[in-house]
Amino acid sequence: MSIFYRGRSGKTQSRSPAMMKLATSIALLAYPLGCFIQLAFPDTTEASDIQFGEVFGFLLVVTSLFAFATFAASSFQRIVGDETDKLDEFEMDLRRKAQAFSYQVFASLTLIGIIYLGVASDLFDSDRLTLWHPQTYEHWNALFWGAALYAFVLPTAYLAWTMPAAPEDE
Amino acid sequence: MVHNRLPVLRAERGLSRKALADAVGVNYQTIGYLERGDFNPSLELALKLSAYFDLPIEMLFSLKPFTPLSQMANDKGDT
Repeated sequence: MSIFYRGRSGKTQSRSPAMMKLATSIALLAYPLGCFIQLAFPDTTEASDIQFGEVFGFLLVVTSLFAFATFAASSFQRIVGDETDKLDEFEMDLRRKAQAFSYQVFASLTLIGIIYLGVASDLFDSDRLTLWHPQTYEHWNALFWGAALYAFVLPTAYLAWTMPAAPEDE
Repeated sequence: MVHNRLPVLRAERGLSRKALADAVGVNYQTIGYLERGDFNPSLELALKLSAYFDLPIEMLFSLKPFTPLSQMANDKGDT
């Protein structure tokens, strides 16, 4: 599952593999880091407090979304997100490989998350150890958009790191 | 790995990658990846290319490296 934004001109934006590696890495790393920082430094009601953690965490989340926006209309994103009848067999082959890789990573992360939630709920209200678990709407909202972001970006990240260099133009 | 003679045949006929790609219905970069051996074509694409060049498929693709055409011509001249 992924999305691709086709611009008004209908042409895809050219992005270098190095730029794609950087942008996809930022998109995948900045979002969870930003959420973690926001969680570690929660908003307080004290008006005098300067919310460095809150602001910095929010900026990281915005940076992650901005990084995604830089390649949402790229040729890499077209391979994983465009309609199948607009791709040729080489591009379909790349898409299948990217989706297979993404499925493995996404399924692994989901299983780890479920195991963690299982342990956290087991320890809930125990005096041994208290593990964080999502409780508020904001927590579930952040998890939902994080999962969506990973679903959209993981296949593109795979392509950015593994796709052979484009043949030189004639 | 599947070896191919696409660059030679394309050069012989003065074809650009774009022209060949349009003729067989693929992206022009796919022809580049194909020529470089980064991608093995499906039977359908191989047959389309074979039909386009009007050559038997084994003249275009092989599991063994091709003998250079110049050497083949030279060997033919010797016999």
